Amino acid sequence: MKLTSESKFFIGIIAATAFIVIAAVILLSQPQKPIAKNELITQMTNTIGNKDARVWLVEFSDFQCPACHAFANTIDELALAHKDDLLIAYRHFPLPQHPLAQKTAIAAEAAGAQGKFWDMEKLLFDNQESISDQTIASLAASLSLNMTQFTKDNADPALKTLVINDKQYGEQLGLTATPTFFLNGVKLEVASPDELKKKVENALSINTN
Amino acid sequence: MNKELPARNASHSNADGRTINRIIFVLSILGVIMAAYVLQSFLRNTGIVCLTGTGCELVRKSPVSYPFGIPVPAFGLVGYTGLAILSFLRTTNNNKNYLKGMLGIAIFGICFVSWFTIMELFVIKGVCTWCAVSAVNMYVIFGLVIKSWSLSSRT
Repeated sequence: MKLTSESKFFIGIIAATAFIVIAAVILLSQPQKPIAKNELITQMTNTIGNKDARVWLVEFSDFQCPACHAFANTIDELALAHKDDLLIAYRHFPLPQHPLAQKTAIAAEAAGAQGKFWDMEKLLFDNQESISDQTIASLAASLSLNMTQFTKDNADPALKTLVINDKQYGEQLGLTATPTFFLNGVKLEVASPDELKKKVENALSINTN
Repeated sequence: MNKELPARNASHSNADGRTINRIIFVLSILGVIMAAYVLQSFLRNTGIVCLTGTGCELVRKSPVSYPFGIPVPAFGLVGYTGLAILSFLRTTNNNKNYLKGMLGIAIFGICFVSWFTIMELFVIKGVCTWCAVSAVNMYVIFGLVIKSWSLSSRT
């Protein structure tokens, strides 16, 4: 094969492109700086577990997201098995394609105002496929909440603002999908609940020994 | 003077053909980079940076994005690599088979991106920025290959 000056020009383009791509890969693969705990878990964030635990997991989630449902049981298992060593926090990231995502998030917060956020969270995920405006109220009623208070809180603009603020914070972090997890401030890339469990348990074994 | 005209026209056509081949090559390289980025995300199950919100994630998680079990960006990677190689080979000699190969890939490419865009809009109901840019890229390449073909037929 005879290389013309044009061929050499093309090889130059390939070399320059390869250089740019390699430099970008190296820069982007630098270890991510952890986000501070007090940024990811605010005073208003719902948590479960030991607030002083050295391992903390933050989930950005949406009650109408099937993948979040798939991870929910693993989160419950982790919370139960490591209640003294692990802090789990839930932040809202209602996706626009889920029509009841924001309403369910507000309902969970309204239940949380009566100390039942995590019970409501479980119910919302367990009944994800049949969720509607009516079922949200009946789920809340099944938790023996004060329904007058629940209805009042559900309409409280402050709770809507809280959910919107969570979403906006997630967007600032560059989130585009749910569930997204941060373990000790570092964003996780996990494809399955088992993978999440392994990563959390690995962090627990490092931090509790 | 009249005898010089055809020669001058041929020279212009060659220069145009060279410029078009350069553009096709650069667009193909860009296509390779985009396809490689999206493919690694498909294979590693990691998020894709997306200008259209959650569209890329919807596309990545949809079964429609795996025709015959193959991730859609793998088709793009093979197609754009083929176009880049053939446009490079065209700089080494004037064998018209290279251009025929490019035309074949570009025709398949526009059929594929058109089908996938329809799937995104009506089945997945989410648009991935990278797929949209790649679709436009393939249409531009197709147009340039056609132009290149007409120029090569003239010389």
